[in-house]
Amino acid sequence: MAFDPARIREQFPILATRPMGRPLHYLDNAATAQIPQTVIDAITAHETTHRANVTRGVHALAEAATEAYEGARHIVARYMNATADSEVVFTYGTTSAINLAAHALGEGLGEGDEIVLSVAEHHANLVPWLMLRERKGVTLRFLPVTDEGRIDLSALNNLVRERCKVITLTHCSNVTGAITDFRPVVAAARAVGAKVLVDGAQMAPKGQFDASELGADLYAFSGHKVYGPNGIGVLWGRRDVLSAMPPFMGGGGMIRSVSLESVTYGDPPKRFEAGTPPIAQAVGLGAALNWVMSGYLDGAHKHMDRLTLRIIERLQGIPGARLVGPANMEERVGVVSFALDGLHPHDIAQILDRHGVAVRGGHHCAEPLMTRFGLTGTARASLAPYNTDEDVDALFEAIEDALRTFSGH
Amino acid sequence: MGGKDIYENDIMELARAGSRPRYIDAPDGTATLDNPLCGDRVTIEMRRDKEGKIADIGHDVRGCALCQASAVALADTARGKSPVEINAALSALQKMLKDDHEHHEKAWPTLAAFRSVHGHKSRYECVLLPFRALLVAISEGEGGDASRP
Ligand SMILES: Cc1ncc(COP(=O)(O)O)c(C=O)c1O
Repeated sequence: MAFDPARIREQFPILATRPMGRPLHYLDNAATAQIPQTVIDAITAHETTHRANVTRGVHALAEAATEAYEGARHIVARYMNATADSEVVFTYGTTSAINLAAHALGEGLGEGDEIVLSVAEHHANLVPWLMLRERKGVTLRFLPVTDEGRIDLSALNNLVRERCKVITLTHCSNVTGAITDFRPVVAAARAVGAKVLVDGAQMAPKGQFDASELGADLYAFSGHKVYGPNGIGVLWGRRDVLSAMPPFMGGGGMIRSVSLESVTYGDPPKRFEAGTPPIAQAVGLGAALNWVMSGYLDGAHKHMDRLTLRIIERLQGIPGARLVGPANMEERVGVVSFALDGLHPHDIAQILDRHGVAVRGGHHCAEPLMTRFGLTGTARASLAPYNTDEDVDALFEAIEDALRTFSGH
Repeated sequence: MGGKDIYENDIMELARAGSRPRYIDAPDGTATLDNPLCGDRVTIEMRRDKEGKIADIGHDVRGCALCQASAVALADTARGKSPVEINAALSALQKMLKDDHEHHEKAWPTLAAFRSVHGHKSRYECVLLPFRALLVAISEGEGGDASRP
């Protein structure tokens, strides 16, 4: 049976609402995807019948909560084909996962050690490393970005040198939609014994994957972009890599024993989960990943590719429109950034909003990439399987309106 | 989100004027402020007369239509005013955005154009940024606190 977005739409209650009395054309999925009823139900059911703190109680509810939390970990492990559940660390999102990694991997580093990243990184995979540079004096080296909006991997040979300890790159740009080919990255890292950290915030929503086959040592993503709740994220790590990492935050749940003289830490993943974790959020994430794996999204990629190409082609027909990202569907996802000559991205987003079209305008937390393209920002339409041809039509009607409003500006 | 259409003619006219930079001779103070939310940047220059009132204002806006419009409205509003009065204008503008009060329009007629932004909370800072920049420019010129008379 052909993929039918209507069957997906009916599972997302928010898509039937009319914010401000207008139909909703939600094209801001790269920022946060919407949540299906089944995930809302799973969270409600957990909070209604299983709410308790995890690991620290022997009463029935505490055991049920722990089971639900660990069950969610198992689902994540299955989603990314982990060897063991213990490779899955729950965090509060991609940002907190990368901060954990930057702290732990950076602990033993100092002057002369090098980290390789790219000009295309989201601030979440940039600022933690800038902070590490401030603390430890490490050197950061940046892969450039091609005119097409891809990380220029031909520069790996020059940038990855003997003292490189970590290569950390986005799996998929939240601005250009370009997917990074990790094969040469992993080869370069292996040659010098560097770790590979992958920012999977934009790629994880595309469906089940295999982080270790990709060659990653660590892989981060967020719940709210994979149809789950916010306040939950994942740092997956190879067992040996996690085992060698010191903790980041200290607190309850992450220790083996504590005295006033000393502390010893628990094994991964607990070592990295200090304090009460986001329990219902983890349960929601598990439900969301189960939903993605359930087969509803079979054929969705073709559908989204077609819509993405429609957007790209229609943009190319608008004088003064500039696409920031690849113009074909090879190794790219449905994230389309564009600039319109003379129109500020906030004004574009605002006018689109009066048509019920939700897009994002601004620098998308990627200021160095904006600078690379000589822009202060772009407007960005980003797709999910529930988007339709009507959404694309509404987008372009709204863009026409923006161009009219600002003609002669 | 908000109900009204932001881009009414008044704002669009101001924005058109604000889309080109305007520089003044021999400024007494200059300030550049960023809006970290969107990366917008406003530079305001000002010169004061013998009584300390604002004689002229220049602007260079790398930002949205609201920010451009506000820079022009600021020049219009602030000319001949003291720093205390400009502070009052900023408060009035903030109130107008927040509460949609009509009575501020009488005191600051040019600012009335921004009533249409009421309700669009994410855009308030776009409108306020040039005013904030002027106060910093004044304080820079005085080498002190912008809120001081
Ligand atoms: C590529 C990329 N990395 C990291 C993040 C940060 O994710 P979060 O805000 O959920 O921590 C995002 C989300 O905007 C993203 O798109």
